[in-house]
Amino acid sequence: MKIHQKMRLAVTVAAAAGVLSLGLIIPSVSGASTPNDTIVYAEGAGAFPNYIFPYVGCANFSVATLSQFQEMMYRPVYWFGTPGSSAVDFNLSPAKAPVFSNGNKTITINMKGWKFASGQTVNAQSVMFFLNMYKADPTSYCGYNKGYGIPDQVASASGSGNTVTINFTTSVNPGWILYNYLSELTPMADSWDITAPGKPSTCASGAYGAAATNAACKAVEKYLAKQSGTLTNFSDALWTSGTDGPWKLIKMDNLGNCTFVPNPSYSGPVKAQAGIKFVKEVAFASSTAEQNALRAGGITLGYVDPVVLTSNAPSPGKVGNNWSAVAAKYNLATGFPWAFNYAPFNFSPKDPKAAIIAQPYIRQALQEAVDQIGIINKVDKGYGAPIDSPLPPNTPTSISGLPNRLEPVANPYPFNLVHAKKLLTSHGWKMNSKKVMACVAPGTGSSNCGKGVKMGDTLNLSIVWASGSPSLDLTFNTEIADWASIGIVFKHTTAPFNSVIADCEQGTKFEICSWGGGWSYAPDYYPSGETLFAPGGGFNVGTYSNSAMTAAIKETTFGTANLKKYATISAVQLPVLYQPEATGTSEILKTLKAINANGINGLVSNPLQNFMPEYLHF
Amino acid sequence: MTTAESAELTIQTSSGVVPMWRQRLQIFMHNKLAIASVAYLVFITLACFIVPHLYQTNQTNQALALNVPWNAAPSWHHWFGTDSSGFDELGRILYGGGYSLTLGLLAGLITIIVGTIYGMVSGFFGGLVDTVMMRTLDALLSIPYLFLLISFITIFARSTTFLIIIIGVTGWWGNARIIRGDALLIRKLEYTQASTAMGASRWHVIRRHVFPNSISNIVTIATFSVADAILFLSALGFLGLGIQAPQTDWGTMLQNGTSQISNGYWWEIYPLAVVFVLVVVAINYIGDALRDVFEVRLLER
Amino acid sequence: MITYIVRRLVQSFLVLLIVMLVTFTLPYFQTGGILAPAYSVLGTHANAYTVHIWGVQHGMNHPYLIRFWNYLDQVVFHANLGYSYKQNMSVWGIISLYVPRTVWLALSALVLTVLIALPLGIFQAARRNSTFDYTATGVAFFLYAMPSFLLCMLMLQFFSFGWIHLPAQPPNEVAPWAMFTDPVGFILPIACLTLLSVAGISRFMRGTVLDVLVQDYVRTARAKGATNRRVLFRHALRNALGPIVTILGLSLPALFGGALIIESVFNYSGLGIQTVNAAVTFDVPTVLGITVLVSIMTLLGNLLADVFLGVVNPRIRVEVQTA
Repeated sequence: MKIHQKMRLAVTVAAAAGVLSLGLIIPSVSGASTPNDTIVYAEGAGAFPNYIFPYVGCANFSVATLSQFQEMMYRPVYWFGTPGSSAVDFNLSPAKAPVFSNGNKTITINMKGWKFASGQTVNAQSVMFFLNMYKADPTSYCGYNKGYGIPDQVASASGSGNTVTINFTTSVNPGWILYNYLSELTPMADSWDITAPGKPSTCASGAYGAAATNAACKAVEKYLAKQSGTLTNFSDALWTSGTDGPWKLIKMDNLGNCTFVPNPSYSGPVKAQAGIKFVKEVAFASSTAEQNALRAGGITLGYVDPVVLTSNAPSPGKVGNNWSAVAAKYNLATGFPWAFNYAPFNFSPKDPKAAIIAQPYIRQALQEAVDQIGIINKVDKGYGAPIDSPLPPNTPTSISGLPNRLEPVANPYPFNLVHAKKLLTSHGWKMNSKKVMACVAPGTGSSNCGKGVKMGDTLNLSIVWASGSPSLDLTFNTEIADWASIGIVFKHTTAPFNSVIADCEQGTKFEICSWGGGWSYAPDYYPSGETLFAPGGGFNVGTYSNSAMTAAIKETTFGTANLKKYATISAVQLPVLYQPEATGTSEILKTLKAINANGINGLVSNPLQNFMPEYLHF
Repeated sequence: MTTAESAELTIQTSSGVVPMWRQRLQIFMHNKLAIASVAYLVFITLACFIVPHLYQTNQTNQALALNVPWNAAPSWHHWFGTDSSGFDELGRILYGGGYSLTLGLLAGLITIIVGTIYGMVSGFFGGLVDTVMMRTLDALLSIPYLFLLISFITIFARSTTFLIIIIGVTGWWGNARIIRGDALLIRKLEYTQASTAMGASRWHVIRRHVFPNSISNIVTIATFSVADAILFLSALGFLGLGIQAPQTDWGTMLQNGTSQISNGYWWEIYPLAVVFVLVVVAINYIGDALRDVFEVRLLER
Repeated sequence: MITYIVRRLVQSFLVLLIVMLVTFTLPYFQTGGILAPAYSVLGTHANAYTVHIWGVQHGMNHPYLIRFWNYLDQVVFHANLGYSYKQNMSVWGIISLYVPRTVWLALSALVLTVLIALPLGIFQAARRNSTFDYTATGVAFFLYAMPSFLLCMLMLQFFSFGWIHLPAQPPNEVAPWAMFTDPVGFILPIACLTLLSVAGISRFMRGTVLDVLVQDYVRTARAKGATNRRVLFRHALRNALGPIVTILGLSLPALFGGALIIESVFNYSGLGIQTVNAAVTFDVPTVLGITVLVSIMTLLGNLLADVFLGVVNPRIRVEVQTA
């Protein structure tokens, strides 16, 4: 009896094991190492390209879709972001440098005559195609900034042959319009000017702003947007015919994995390197999974969270020891992104503590208690740069008029807890029994708390930041602890990214908020402040308003001033709380090499995060 | 089931002399592993709530933690080393344990109380009441639990109380169904029907027959619920939805620790993993032992 | 039985309506109300103007009841679950892409679990207190006490980057049947998922069979001279199947939720990850669509479980038919 029973179990277990082992004996192809003709690029966790039509709305307006996908195939009129530089590169652009005339009210763009894969020349009409669509339906393009630049300030635009002429209603700053608006234009092939297969339209050829053109463009846009809705169709003839960049898409799946081959008809200077037959972008569901893939050695270019690095960067912009688990196969790389990190102060009168935040000395005390260097050294393992102004670290002198260095503006408020506390006590605040500063000398004098602050008001404030990022938690917990030590006590909340932005904009509950990312200057690359710090600006979430600031901003957009004055005012005025900017840490397979083009090694990371595999080879 | 058999022996000899609760205690005391589990749980609980007052470490001030070496190996100053944000690992295990145990216990209790009441009422009354209650339960059960919980967590601001309530309130549905099934079966047993026929009130029947007969299931599920709540909290920690830093719980700590396995920082994962797994094992084992103890049918024989 | 099933189907539809109402209403309570997704979609381009435009484009300016009716109308009469706010895909597209992937993964694990856990549980119950029983129980206890991510990460550490080098992730292919063309990559995720559920189910099976073994009718059967084997497989197993079926029926939603951690660790884009991402980014149509779909599957699962219960245990059939 016993034996029988055991046998019965044994049979069942054997059957189960059989199912398992059946899998084992079927030969496998996974885990094979990458061949030497293929560059495998890791997409960000959960961030894969999902739109191919370059006229992109905000829902799909991402680095993964634009800088690391579309722009490999469809080159914008002006190319920004090469290895190591965020500046415009006319050499890599399908147009020559723009010519400004008529008191900076007219721009002339001369196209170089590159070719689309369809054989058509990339000419003025290709640019007008985009301009006409922009004019017809501006809100569907995410770069649109109401009242500014293209198309709202454009009086007229026309194109013939290889020359596009744009007339503005006011004079514009050449740098600003080039970096913020000409940067957004992408020439599009006539093969896209259709409303159904084989049904051509007149969006490209129509007159700018004419009602007929607008109607035609809207119909074309609707059709193309629909075609851009199926990932598996991205490699079909419609989309590949408009390719004028160095790479051509041959395969795309619904998970976001895609494969490119060199585009034989690419007319630009840096072509795909000999021996590279494929570029693959691989989707990842989580960053844990991406790190596992790195450890397995299956990708050529990936990224790594500094939290696993075992040693600090020796100096900003340099790399220390690599993550031990991948150090045998990969080199670590870093670089400064074209961005600045901040957390907006809430100036909205709807906030009960608005009077406190309105005091410049309070903002100064808060900023002086932010230990940017300490946070960079510990939380970011040295891979970070302190931020003291809206200019990105290492802003080129050519744009800003300021020294080309890690902190473009001299930091007016370095970390100093003693001084921060003194600022409060010298303005009529006194620590109460609960270790919170309370106002004991209301009034508007130089040693009083300031306008609107009442006797007995305390520095009990609230902060909200985006959940889900351990490094952000560490950063703000450090700041909260330091603020508490000078008597400013914060109650904190964390919420999902979008709730934080909604909370910031409503402006009723929190004195400081942070969605964790600050501001990236792309594809409006000019670090000017009309969006962030001007009243009514597109993303002025703290509703900051200051007449000197507004005047300085106007000088940089409509005048010809460089960014020096604006940056200095921003550093001193503290429209936002500046936060350290983490620099990216990426992993590059040791066998991967890069050509030296324009004196720049392609392995240096790209501040605009453009993926440019044409610089790479094994 | 060791105890079940030894119990049968003891009780057959002493039946009718020793009161029921002492019999049960005897059975429990015979189970050495159960005693060890209780001892371990008591030890860990005391450690989590008392030791931090004796072995004082900074667990909340991140600014001070900046001055401590991060990911430091165990040393005289830091017996279990420091973690990936500069906190003393031993102190943090105890500190995080306070949160995990409290939350697990409270959330587990909510799920069992609500689930028992719901299941009993539904299963015993039957008929229309049962249909309505069960279809409502179906609606709740058919919404994926984890998804619903994550939706709640993303909609409302998180706090410790909120986590307890949300895990408790969304976790009782399965319990209710099991208890209801139990009540249903027991209701079918003849003696219950007999006492109803004799005119006993329905509440009386629930109290005297249904409840005691379900005791084994309720107790088992209750202990498992606590263990599940602790595990569930740890899953939330893995997804970054656990307790907010600088406060912490075991799940969040384990998640941070797993990201450092590749660097060989064993002290950030293995000591806690052992403590954590043993806690859940101990609670589950106590559940099993209690189930044996309350096994009425065994006692009655 | 037929009338019963029809009535249950009608009830299930009503239940589905409740589910839809609840999930449709929930977003009204988030910060920023139903316009909150706009902040997630527009990101740093969100301001009063762009958010308003977005709201109008998505019909947010209509009253609550009109919106719910429109949604219902689309779902019920046009089988249209809507279009994702965040992803460039229809909700049905997302579901048809990710559901098969998760179902393949979870079903393989479930089948393996049943094949391993049921015989294991019965055998343990039959040979209780043997060395084998103790060992199996001990192992099950430890596995059950392991947070799933910890078990998966440790398995990865030892079996992918340590002692042996199994692939750290399944092949990154859309087709769900990649499991058969390239099975090695699936060993770790399926093994992890199976181990986790075997622990729970085998323990439950052992307990249930033990319970049944002391029931009066089993004792009667034994007294009548039935063999151990007959008692075990005819009476005990038959009566223990009820609770097991209930547990398996109940595990349907958990099956989808539970795969989440596995998907996240092993880079297997599936329904779990999609749902969490959709919830975190307030991609309401996607969350709604997936919830409705999973609800339908679960309701059917419950119905099947109840019907099956009625078949295997006639004592409950009467109750089921009158319920």
